[in-house]
Amino acid sequence: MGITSLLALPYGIGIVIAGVELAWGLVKYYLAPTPGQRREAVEEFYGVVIGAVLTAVVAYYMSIGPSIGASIAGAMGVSVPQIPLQDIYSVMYGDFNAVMGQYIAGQVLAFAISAAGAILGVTQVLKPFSALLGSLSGFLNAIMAPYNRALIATMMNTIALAALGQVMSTMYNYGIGSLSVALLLPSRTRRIGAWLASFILVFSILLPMVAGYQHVLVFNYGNELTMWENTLEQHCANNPIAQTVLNWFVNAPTWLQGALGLLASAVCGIASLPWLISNTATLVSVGTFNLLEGDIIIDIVMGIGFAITAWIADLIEAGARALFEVRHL
Amino acid sequence: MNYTSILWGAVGTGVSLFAIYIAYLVIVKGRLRGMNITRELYSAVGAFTAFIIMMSIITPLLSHLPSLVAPPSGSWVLEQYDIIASILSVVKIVTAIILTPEEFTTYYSLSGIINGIIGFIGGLAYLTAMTIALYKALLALFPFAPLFIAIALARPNKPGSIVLMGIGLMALVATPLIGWLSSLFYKITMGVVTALSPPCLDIKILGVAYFGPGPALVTISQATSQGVFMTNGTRYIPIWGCEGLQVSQVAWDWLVLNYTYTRLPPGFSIISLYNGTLEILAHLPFPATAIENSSGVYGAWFPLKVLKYWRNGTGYMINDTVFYIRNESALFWAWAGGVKANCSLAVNEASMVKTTLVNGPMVPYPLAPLTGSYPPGWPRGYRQMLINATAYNESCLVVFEPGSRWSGYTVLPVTGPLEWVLAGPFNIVNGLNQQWGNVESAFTAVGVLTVAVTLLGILLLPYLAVGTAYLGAIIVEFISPLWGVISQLLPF
Repeated sequence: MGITSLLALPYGIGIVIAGVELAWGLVKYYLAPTPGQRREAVEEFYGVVIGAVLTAVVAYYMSIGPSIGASIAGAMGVSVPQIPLQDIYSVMYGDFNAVMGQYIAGQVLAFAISAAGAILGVTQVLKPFSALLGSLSGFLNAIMAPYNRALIATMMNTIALAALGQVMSTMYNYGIGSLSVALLLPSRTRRIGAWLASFILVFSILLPMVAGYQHVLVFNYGNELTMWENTLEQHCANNPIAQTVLNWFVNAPTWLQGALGLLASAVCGIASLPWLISNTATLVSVGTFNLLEGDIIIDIVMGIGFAITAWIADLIEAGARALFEVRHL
Repeated sequence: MNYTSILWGAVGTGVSLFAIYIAYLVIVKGRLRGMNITRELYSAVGAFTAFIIMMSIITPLLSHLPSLVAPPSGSWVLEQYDIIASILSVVKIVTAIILTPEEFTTYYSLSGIINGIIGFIGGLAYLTAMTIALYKALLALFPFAPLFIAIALARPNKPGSIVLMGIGLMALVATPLIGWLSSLFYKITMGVVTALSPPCLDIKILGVAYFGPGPALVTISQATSQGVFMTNGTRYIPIWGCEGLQVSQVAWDWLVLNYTYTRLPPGFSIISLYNGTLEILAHLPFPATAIENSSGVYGAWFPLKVLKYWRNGTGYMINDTVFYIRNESALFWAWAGGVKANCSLAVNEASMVKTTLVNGPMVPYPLAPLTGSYPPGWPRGYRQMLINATAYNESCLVVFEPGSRWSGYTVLPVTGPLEWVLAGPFNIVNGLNQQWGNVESAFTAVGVLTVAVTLLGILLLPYLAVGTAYLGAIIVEFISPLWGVISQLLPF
């Protein structure tokens, strides 16, 4: 890192604020009218120097938070990627989209099959086909029910993490971390400074760690529906009847080809029922449980994170009071 | 996993934390900065003492408790749910295939029942999986519980501390409890799943071609089930694909028919759900005439032998209840309410054809209408007779009187998978019944846990801070004079 890059955001703000703090300390020292007040100013200046150093360091601390988080997670036996604070929002947004995409695809698929059945059911003669499609839709809904619930829980987590990511990213970009330490010096802003500093101290590490864990969860288990469809299509790739039916619609729109392909695969899957059921159960259940467990872990960890933030905020406030409060001689 | 070994590490960390904090208070704030630290010191020492007392009580106590149970497999629970839900859904698909459009009211009712079973199993499986997942998460948190308690006690009466104390206590107390609860839920789900579990994952549709007097009540046997259905010719029935199939009885008008059956393989099938045809040929030992009208069958009879003793003897059937003889002696077998004639009759009770009682399928009473109609369980007013009618130089009408009505139309053939589905509610109740002790314990545990958490939150935590402060004050006030005496003795 070059010297000039230190002036770029977010380090720049930290250094500027630290510089202002030092300057203010010097100004107080030189403007002190009596020797007693000058001694006061000297004593205060020691605190200001410590504050300035901390102020400058916090921006750096925020930038290495993700790697510290990943190391802590690694020490606990969980491998998570390092997500920089300013990228958490976009990563979580991507995860939310992926999970929402799976959820919507599942719902739309079940609805489309059911709706097609309902349309056919208007005619008495086609009622068996209507019921057949209705049952197929029910089948899809039933086997995917726990997975859909897990997806909803994951979506809620990604939204919460994305929101926190947005906050942390803004704080990082605008040097709020450094500012929060600077706010500890004056007694009027000490409380808000303590809360901000505590939040930054905890969540600079915790948030990238948890977001990384969430990202891994979504990456590994967030696309069970697609995996299930792919397995089904692969299994039925050599089914001559399904292929013949699909060939009839080779000039049809892509969405129709896709829908028919899936329907043909579903029918082909039902033809080899034991395979379909055991494959679905294994594929969906393991991923669903891991997703659920991960969601609960994230909820608990985030709760603890906020509690620790509150605890440390109190400690920081007391510490700052002891460190920066000027004793009038 | 052992409580004590896990806890000791956290106790050490807690002691170190308190030591550093008290040293900081005394040396930095008290000595170097000359601040008044009395209240803070009281709280810190009180908290430290409370922490030591609590750990001294908890650690030996916990070593006598059983180790934390290994978490049951949550994915197994969801896997079993998926298997049962899949099979139930496939039964719906099969039902949609085998029913005619006119019978679809039955399909919708069955669909509702299946959805109900899936909903119940799904709810139970999800609850179990969530509890197991929570337990696994708490297990990861458990070793840190004393640490949370320690840092909460270090600065009591602060919002963060109260939350951390709650988390620490909850982790410490709730982890074993949630573990126990998760194993209870697991046992309950396992019990229900075992009671519900299908013989296999393979469902087939079998075509039935019946040749013989009808409507016939056909009983078929598979390895794990015995199903019944009525047929007048052709129909489709669902069966378990993994089990063999035998026709164990064919009955008509409470008479057990002689039968042969053949399984014909499917010729060509778009979907391999179709398992071929079961061809049944059934008959009475003789070609009997049924006493029949549009509402059903009321008996049967057959002229076994017509003896033309005399010249111009004649005998023939007028309709399906009346036989005419003149100058003849005829021997009849009859399965009817009675027999009348205007000539000499000799009636003897016989048992040439075996009869049977009719048992409809064993389904819960509210579901019975789904299965269609069955003949009454036993024949009323019937006699199996050998009748000798003699008419010399006279015209004689032998009239067979009807017995009770034999009729039936089964909408749903209660065989294999359909029998399994219709027994589902029974099986769920049975499964829960067998696990009733666990169900009760689970509900009690949830109730106790809720009350405990509420009481802890509302009553205990606010007083904890005050309590630790008083404790600290007592100890510090006790140590201070002692320290005064000791410091007088020290040379520096």
